[in-house]
Amino acid sequence: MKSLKLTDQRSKSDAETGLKIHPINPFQSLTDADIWKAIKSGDQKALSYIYERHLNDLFRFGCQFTQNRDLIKDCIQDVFIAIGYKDSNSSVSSIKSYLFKSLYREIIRRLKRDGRSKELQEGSFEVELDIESSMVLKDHHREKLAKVQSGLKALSPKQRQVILHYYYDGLTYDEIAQVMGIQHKNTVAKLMSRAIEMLKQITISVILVLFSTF
Amino acid sequence: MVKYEHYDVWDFVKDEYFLSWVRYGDPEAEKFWKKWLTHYPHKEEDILLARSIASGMQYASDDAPSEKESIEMFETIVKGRQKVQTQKQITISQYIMRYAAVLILGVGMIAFYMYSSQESTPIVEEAPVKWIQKENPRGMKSTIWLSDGTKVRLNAETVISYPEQFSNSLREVIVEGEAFFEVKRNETKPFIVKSNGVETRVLGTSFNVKAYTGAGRVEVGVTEGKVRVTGSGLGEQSAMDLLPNQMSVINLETHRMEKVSFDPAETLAWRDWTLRFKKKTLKDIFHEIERWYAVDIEVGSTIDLNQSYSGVFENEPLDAVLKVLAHNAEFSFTINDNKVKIK
Repeated sequence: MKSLKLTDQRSKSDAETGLKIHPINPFQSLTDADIWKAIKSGDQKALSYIYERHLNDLFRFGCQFTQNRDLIKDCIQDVFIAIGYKDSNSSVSSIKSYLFKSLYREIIRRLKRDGRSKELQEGSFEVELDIESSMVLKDHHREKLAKVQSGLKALSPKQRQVILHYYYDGLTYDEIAQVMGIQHKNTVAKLMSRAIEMLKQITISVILVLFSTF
Repeated sequence: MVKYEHYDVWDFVKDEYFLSWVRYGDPEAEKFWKKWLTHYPHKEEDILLARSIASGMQYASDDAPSEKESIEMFETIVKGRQKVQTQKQITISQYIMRYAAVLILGVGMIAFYMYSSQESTPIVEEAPVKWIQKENPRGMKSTIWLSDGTKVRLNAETVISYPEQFSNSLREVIVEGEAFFEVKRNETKPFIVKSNGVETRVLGTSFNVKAYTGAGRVEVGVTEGKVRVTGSGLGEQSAMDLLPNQMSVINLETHRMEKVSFDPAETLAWRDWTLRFKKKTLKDIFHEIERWYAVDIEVGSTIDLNQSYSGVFENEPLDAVLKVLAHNAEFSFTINDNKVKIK
């Protein structure tokens, strides 16, 4: 799991250690809109850069909707092939959310085309709290984190999706709204704050129960 | 600095500036938070926990393409793009043909028709569309007519957005809140209402869309014709066709879509300035009254909000409605400007 994160330059490992995992890449300092322009003008290095950077995230995202690995791979290929050709007039300000959304559409389109819509799962978006690599070592901290971990299971798939997109994928509310086909980012903010509130309540109530048994 | 003094673990987890430190390692933010901790050392535990939570969230599934797969896929992509590039060049030459056709237009119409009929999928660049937004605050209802002749009645606290002119292929509007549509029939231009991720598609009919933000659900009820409802995010299986007196209820949390029958007299009473409840809980009723009369209702803790009531009020003033409810539910109320207190 950890090794996957290394491809995302904004990932935890970077933030914590301050290490640059990527060799210095000219595209790193460019905005998404600029990289997008470069790809559209036929720059294969730019294409390879975003491919390397987002492949694992895209694949993991695809796995939430179907277990068919080959299908996910085919769909990712088609999404990258279509960049700059479909929607050729639109500029893209967030490549990652654009890729997520396109992949989701492509998976649906394919399954529908092949008459296999039944294979489409409701996005599962199981969340896990990485306690092992956490810096918190004290036992009572670990216990609290374990409660959060079990609380995550009580959330709805939509809430889990928002949490993963926000905390793991690093998408903004606007971008999450785009990926999930929600009109307004406020709706995303509400989903999120309700999820956090639930986690808070669950952790508190579990603690109370523990106290009352003594 | 003081702002964060009373934050608990979860407030930190939600805080954007905190996240720019723990998630993205922003140097400015890091400097701030380290300094902050020296002022509030007793918060260190909370900060550590919040940091572990915010940076520890991850996908439970762990599958990724192997190195070999990754390379093979990229090769396929590059080849695929080369192929599309060649096809694109062919399309460009078709474009030139089309402009040639437009030139010939100056000479004779017949030539234009010949060329344009060869064009199987004409690529027409549409001019940027100007969108109009109309908003009803609480306590206000209104009726608008769209450019195609469709009539839309908007309930209170509702926002509708629509293009000044519809495109050539479809008529698309966006609604947040509640609206009743009487759609002008046009077989070639489907009419689409988007609301909280739910799409309602029709050719010409009458139906009601209720999609208040925060309600957690969208309701689409049909009075005439046939309507197709799709929830975005679930794909084709979530499409549902509705006939008159059928209603689709989409739960936005579970993403379940359910078909129920409905009573137009009740659901659509708002169109005729009639406030109508049928076995609604006090909670729902108060909510409706807030929206209807543009007031805020404060309910005392002794009131059981789950008891349900039925009633019809035709264009009655607020105090008359409250009097009837108060008598039945045994509460007392005071009205001060737009504040209602219930005890």
